Amino acid sequence: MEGLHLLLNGFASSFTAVNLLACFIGALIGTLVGVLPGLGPTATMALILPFTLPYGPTTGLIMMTGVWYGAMYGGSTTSILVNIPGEAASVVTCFDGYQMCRKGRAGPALALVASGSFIAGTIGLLGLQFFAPLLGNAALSFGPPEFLCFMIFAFVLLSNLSSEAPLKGALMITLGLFLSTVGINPMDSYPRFTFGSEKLMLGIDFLPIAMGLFGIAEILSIAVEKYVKPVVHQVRLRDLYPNGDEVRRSVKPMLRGSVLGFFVGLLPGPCTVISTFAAYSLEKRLSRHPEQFGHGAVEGVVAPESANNSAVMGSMVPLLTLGIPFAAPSAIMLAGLRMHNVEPGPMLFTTNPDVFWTFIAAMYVGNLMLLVLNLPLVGLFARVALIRPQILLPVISVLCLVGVYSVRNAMFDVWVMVIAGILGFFLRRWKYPVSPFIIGLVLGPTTENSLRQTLLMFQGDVAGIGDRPLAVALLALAVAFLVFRHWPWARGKGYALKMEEGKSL
Amino acid sequence: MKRWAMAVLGVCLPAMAHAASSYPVKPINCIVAVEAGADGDVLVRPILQRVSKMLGQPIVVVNKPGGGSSIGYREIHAARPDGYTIGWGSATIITNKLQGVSPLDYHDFTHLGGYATFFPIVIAATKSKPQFNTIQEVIAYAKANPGKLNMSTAGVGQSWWVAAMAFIGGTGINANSIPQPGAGAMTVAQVAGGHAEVGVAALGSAKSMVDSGQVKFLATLGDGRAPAPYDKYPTMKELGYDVSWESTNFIMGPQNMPKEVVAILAGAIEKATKDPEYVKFAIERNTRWEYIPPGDIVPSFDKRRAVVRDIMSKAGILKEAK
Repeated sequence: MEGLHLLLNGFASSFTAVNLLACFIGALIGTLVGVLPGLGPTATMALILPFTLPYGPTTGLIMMTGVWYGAMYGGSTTSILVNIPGEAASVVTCFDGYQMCRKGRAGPALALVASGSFIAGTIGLLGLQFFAPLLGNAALSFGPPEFLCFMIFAFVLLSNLSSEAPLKGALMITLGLFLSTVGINPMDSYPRFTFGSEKLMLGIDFLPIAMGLFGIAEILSIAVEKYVKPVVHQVRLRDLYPNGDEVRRSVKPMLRGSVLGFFVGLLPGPCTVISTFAAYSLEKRLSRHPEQFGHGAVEGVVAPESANNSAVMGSMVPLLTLGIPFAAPSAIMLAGLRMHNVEPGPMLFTTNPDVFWTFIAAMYVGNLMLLVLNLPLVGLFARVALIRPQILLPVISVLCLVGVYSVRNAMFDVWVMVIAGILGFFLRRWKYPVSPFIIGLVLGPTTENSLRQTLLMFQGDVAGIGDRPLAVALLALAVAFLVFRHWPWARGKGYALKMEEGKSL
Repeated sequence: MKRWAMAVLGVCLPAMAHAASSYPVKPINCIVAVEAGADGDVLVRPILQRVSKMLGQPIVVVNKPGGGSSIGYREIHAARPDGYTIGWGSATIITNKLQGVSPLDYHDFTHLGGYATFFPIVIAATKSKPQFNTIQEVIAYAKANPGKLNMSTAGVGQSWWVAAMAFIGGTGINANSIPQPGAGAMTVAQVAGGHAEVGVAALGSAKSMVDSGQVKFLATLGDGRAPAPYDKYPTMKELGYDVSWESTNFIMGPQNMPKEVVAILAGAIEKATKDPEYVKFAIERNTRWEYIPPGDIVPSFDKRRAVVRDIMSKAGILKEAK
């Protein structure tokens, strides 16, 4: 009950003009950088950090979370409309979102994503509000062996993302893993596969590859196709918003995605990105029509987009309760709080409870603000899909070039994106799936580092994993998944049917 | 290509300045080779703000992280030495060259002054099986059980890894070091979770866990004790071990900068560093504040370079780039 009282106090203090304005500005900026391809929340938060300093820690925290959060809302827009991920956590949204758009369902996709983000944000906040200290300590129980087993589990879970050509998929995942080793390894600072080039030392970042493989490749594909003037359908208001069937199919994926995203968000590394892949994969597995995935399944759009919003809330847990930033945006938030002399950590609840509760309250408000901000924009954005490609594509290309440069201020990343785009164009022609490639690239570094750390920890004797219950449990889950998939008797009747369809697994 | 992209971002440099006498006549770029929001970045920004006010020109911070900071250092080195590109530096500039990551070290730049020193500390877990309350217990345990003590450290060759190696070497123990990627958050998290018995990290990364009692602060590896309230923990030197490593942050520019420009910048940086408000800020950011005049940087780094060179050659990773 004390918590409720504190929360009410929090609401009272967050309803100041300054805080509401900060929340609105943050949400607006965040939505914008989310919409603009390449520009991501991390760089933006770093840029606005100095401006928040005069207004006290709570206002600063509210504004920066607003940006991060808004970026998760806005990131899906370009994914859906032009197949270009607005930021890293929206790559998955391309798979089905763009297909929905091609079927003229861009409006519903955008509207459902906005609602899903709202629900996910609320669920994430509830988790943060009630379980933060508990979960914070749970996050600490992940040592190198646990990470290793979690990564193995993730590979098993995500291996169903592309189903048409398993061998090609395996090849692409290996290629992704290989490319993730280029550059200076963070564990031993040793340059690998750099061929003496200082540029390659930066390593191959995930975002330029994703933007190249999806966005630039799409632009190239459209450019070589003959332009057929689309049958101009009048965008009716009814078409802008989801129909009953779409809503019905979205509710459960939204809830599942939200819960999954929150828990994945607790872990270090690119948690928002992994949460989207995991949510998509989970929906595909649970769906009665997995063959629709990749062809505009609404579940495949709302689940990942919900997951990335609640993952943001999840990653606030280790930051606020442990003072340990597990993700890049939360590192900037930590810097911001410290500049105000607020030290997040286990003591935050006793030394600055007002900061925590005002923050929670403000985020409820901000979440609502984002929904109100985003729903009316649906109509506007949906019209973007109708712009002639001769005009739209060059504009988008320039935005991609600038956006990708801005992340690390490196020309190298721009070239990586261009090359990935050309490569992606041919990969599509030859029907190689690109999503396993991305998965390899995202999971590669954590997998490699945790394997090496585990070996160091047990001095080469992997049997030591057996003494760690959590690690064993994760491994068992991975094995269970494999068994479930490859032994028909474990799945019962429905399995044989789906095998015939050939696309279920 | 590069200029074009920069122009788009609005950080373009207007036409070249003519006379150094009126320096600065246009905005100055400052390349900071770590991520925005990293300790080094947070600490240098207030100095740049003050310098910018004194010189009457904006200073644009350009974060160029990656490659153990070597990529940013290379860009500073390659910039025109006209005073319109300066940069941030830390102890990684010593290790880069020794590891073969970059052919450059602190000898290849014009120094403009150092302003604060980060120092590492030894922390111990409260959840692990062997528990330690003092640094002597750690040393005794590691000596009695060679190779059994797990020590969470920064990535090999990183500044705080050097500190951990200096600790292991200087005390003559045999510990099992487990390097962690990233800026130190993971190092502390691993100790707090009890996955490693001890760890070496910057005070700033460990502070909240120390305050809450989830990890124990055992000793400081810097030259002096930590600022209050952590001044009750001893330095290794006080305990009779020849162990010390710290990372001084400084501002530098490309080689051969005009003397007048150096004088203007170094003067402004000294004034900004000595501003009492900044001193307070630097200490709150878990550093030992100290102003180091430009001329003293190279000699003090020479001493540290000798230490780290020795450590790296023992670890078998010494590979001086040409």
